[in-house]
Amino acid sequence: MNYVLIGNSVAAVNAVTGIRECDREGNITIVSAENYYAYGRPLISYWLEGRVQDEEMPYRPASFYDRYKVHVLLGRRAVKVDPRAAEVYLDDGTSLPYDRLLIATGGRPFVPPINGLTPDNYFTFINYDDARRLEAVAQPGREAVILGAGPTGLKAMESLARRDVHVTLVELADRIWAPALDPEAADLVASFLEAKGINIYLHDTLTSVAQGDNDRLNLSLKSSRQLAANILVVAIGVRPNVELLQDLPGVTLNRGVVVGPDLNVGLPGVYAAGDVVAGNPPLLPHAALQGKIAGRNMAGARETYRPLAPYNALGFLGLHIISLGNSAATGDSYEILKEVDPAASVYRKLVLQDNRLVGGLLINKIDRAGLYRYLIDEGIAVTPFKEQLLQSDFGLLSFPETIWQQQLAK
Amino acid sequence: MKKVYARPAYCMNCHLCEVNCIVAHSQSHDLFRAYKRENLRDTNRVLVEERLPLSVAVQCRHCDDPACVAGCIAGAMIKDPATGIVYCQEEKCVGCWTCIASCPFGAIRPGEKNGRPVPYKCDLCREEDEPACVASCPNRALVFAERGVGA
Repeated sequence: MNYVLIGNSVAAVNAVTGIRECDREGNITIVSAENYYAYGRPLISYWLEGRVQDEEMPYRPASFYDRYKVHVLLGRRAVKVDPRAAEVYLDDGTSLPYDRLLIATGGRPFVPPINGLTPDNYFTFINYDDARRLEAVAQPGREAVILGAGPTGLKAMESLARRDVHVTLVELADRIWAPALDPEAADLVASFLEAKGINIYLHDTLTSVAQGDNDRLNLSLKSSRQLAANILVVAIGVRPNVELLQDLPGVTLNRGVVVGPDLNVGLPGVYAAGDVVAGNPPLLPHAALQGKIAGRNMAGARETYRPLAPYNALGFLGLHIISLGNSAATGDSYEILKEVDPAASVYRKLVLQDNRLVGGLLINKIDRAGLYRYLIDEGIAVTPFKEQLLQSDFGLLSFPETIWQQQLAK
Repeated sequence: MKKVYARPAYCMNCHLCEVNCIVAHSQSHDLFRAYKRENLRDTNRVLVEERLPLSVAVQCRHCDDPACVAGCIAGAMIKDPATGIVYCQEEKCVGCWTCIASCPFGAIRPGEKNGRPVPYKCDLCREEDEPACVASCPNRALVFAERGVGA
């Protein structure tokens, strides 16, 4: 059996593990456009900060590929999939036959058309090479403008600030990281950041870029504000890399590729996992799990991927945030439980709907957050122990006995 | 694989499992030094939950498909394919705490050692024959066994 995996990040590496659980002998080939062995993409901000060194970047040790008998083609781009011939064509003109194919091509930064924006005058912040380019210019005292105050922008902000670069965040929404933070939490986080010297401009965006003096950029914002900066980082989102699947009969693209419950894309033997999948939150745990299940299914298992509620843990400049499910929810259709201590930058909020937990947001007090995630994913009715949910001794024993008994017996 | 199973009916709420977990994961392996010199209070990787008169020690279940491993952005958390033990290669941890958000048992806590982040989680005392919590449990409320032995 020939397995070809396009992409070499977390989804693909987990797919390898999944395949090898079921098939120890088949040939596995990974095609990677990047020149690195797999690394967790979120690590790039830690690398730029200097908290992670080059040798600590690999997601799995170098021996992984040997041990799992994987042939890796680095720096090679897959340019075409021919499902009828069951072959993948590469950018050097060669082709690879496959029996099973995994599309784990991830996503790439979305860069909107902006006057004066050229590939030379901005940075993105998705891969190792982006971080390397930034390292060359991120010197103390310089000024950076980051367009987008979501997780990517915030992590870029942290690593630049730690390098003593002055950072301004520009965000189109009325608050930072709007999909995860409600207005109150976003205010708390913004105050924390401002106290650390970060400028934040909300309700605003970049309208044009012009080259100024001394290698600086003159940036015009929608609000008519003018900013000068040495560094511009565009971090407003990612788009799935679906080009390989374009115009293939049987395949449905809806931004990402639409997959069945087994993660098949609608072509015989072809599966997808990670950020390239439609409707998937571009989050690492989800990519890892999908990769594992796709790998198993490629090797003959019949497993179903049950979509997980999005969840994310994000820390910057000493603040730690865990968002679970519908964490930003407000309004009358939800019951909200809250504990807030602005002095300690602590915010804990649970979102209930029909007596079930549908979201959670934990800032700076994140102990046992996974228990809430479990309640969300399992849809457990919390009425019998609702008043315990935010208490400091909340734990497994707060759950109904049948559940904690079952959990402890695992 | 062998795991630690709790028998709540036998738990006396003495917290000795926590104490001995701390000592087992200390530099000195000495109770006095661990608490007084190494400042390791509250670094236990097993947690006694109380809802008196009920109490029970909760720790990592070393899942077949560990969500903490799937979530780890650094590749620090791994499941040893040979032993099944889930543990953190602490030198690789960056302290993002996705593992804490991932664990459905709440069995990982954020911590630090020498200024570096460390997730406090059970590693079944993987260098030893028997986990310290089990060895020290005075009423056999914790057992190290191949499968669940009931509550």
